[in-house]
Amino acid sequence: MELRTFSPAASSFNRQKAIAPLQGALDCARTRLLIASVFFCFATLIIAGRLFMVTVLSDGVEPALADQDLSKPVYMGRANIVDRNGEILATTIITSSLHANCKVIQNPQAVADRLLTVLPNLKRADLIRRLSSNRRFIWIARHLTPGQRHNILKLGIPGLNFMRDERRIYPQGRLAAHILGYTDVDNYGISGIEKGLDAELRAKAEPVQLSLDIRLQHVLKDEISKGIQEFGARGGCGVILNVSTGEILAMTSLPDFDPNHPSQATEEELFNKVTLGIYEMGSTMKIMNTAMAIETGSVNLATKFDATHPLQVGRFKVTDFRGKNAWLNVAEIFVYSSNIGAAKMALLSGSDKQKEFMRKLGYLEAPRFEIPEVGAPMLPKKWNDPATITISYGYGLSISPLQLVSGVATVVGGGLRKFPTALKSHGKESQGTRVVSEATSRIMRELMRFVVTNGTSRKANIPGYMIFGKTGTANLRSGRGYQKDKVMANFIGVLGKGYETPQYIVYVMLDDPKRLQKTYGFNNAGWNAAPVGGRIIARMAPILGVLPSEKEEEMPDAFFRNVKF
Amino acid sequence: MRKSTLIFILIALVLGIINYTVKQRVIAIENTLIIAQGNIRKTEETLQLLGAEWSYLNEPSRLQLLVENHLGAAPLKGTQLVSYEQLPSRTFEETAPIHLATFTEPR
Repeated sequence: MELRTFSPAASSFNRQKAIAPLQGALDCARTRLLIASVFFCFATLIIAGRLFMVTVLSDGVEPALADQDLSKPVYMGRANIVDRNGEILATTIITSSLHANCKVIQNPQAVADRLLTVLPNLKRADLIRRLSSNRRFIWIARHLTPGQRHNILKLGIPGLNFMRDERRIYPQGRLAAHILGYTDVDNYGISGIEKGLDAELRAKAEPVQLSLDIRLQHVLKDEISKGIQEFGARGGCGVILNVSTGEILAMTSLPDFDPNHPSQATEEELFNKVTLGIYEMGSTMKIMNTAMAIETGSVNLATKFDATHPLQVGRFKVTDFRGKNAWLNVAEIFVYSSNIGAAKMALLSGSDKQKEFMRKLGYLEAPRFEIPEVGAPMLPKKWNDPATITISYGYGLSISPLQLVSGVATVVGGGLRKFPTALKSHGKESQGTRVVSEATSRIMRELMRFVVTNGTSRKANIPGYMIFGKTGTANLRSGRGYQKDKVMANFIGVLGKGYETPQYIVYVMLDDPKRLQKTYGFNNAGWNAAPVGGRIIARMAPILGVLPSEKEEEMPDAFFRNVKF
Repeated sequence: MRKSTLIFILIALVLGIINYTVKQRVIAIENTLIIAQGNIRKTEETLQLLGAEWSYLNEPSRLQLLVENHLGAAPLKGTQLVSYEQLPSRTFEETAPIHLATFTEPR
């Protein structure tokens, strides 16, 4: 700057001279600036354009209103199990578990004493020892109720904390214990439906709906437990099944247990007689035997067999309980429940046909069912003539009550074999495979109607209701032989609307009922299981909306119009 | 200072304020959402608990005991059920016409 004032002419020359090299640098800077600003302009334009696209031209990618699907239930731990009417059978509730940080606890004795005022079940000495242990985390009590939690919070003890915990509870208690099963401490299913559908229960938020109806379940359990008391039985079980769908409406096994406290249950209580128990079913198996003989065409209703003398087979002798000692036709054999006659019918059909029939009914393998406690049947070692004879009247082939019920449902309910299920089958009927013809099925219903009106199941007859039935009394095994005076009494009844539509099957089993004065010294199923079954039907029919009809329908089959029992 | 700079500063300021308020509102709404979700959860838990209690109180054997002790009602019999067809139909007599109520003005 001083140059200018000193010599303008020289300075102007010098300025020109001085600027010349700078000119290039300045141009260079300008171009750079231009490039940079153009670059930034482009970047800004791109961002602006994108912003415009996103905000103004929103092409449906981003909804204007945030949507939340509220129709699906919020996941609340292990899913509920409900009955067919939505009544809760098993649910998970949020509980609080109390734990302590011992480093913060000042005076273990005082803390223990104050805690005991709320939780009197804790052991004082043990609690003091653990509180003095100087550990950062100890459990004090798990699964406290909201009330207990509130009271502990009110104590205001520093160092005590709550943790959110889940607990499986069964509000209906013992009612459906065996079918529901139970879970372990960490809510993993270890028996029953809880185990069978464990993965589903853990993953799903919607409840699992069973086919059970708790009203029927109660009726069944109530009447059978009364029956057990009345007849001095050791235990019992029962099933109610919907014939057309195969749904189990009720299933009970007594003695039972409380799934809320499974550790307190005994082995016998935990045992599910219906699915896991394998028994010789006695005369109820004559339903299968008669159906088999008629279906295979070996006999018709009028075919007569000599039942005058016991049947000698090797070492043992087949006799009749209060036999008629006469020639009996097939209908009479069934209604009087003649062992000799049944054996001769089976022999006439042959072992192969019998075995094939049992295979079709699914009696040679364990049934398919939703709970894991399913027993496999016990088959004879050799399916020879002696085996065929004993199987004809219900010995030598042991099956579970569930199999018996599904077999009777097949034979009596139209001849189609449907799988029993514990899950609600929302209205759709299962197709099933044909085992016996419609005609044979109807003959069996007529025969079983006679058993109720004139035969051994008279005590199950409820006026106005169309009940088909059959009793069975099987001697209980002891080792290789049979106990003389210990029996298992079975009754299987079918409630229908007329002869054409069998609807519900009721099965009752009493384990070792006693000979009583009021049963005139008998311990046969007709005196104990049948009346219990009748009471169950009388109580369940109004619940199911089955109306009694005033007039007895005429037997559809011409054969029965001329026979008298 | 050039006019354009002023305008740009103004625009930036306005956008900034809008951005800030929108963000604050979103945060507030999100907080409400979290609280609402917490409430839904709590309500669900309560529902679960109440459902369990309702089921417990409705246990059939308990109800039966209560009914036996306090009501003296017996189990329903099948004969007590009547179908719709069995109900006697209401008879309308042709001769007597339906009388409509006549209203008179209060004096």
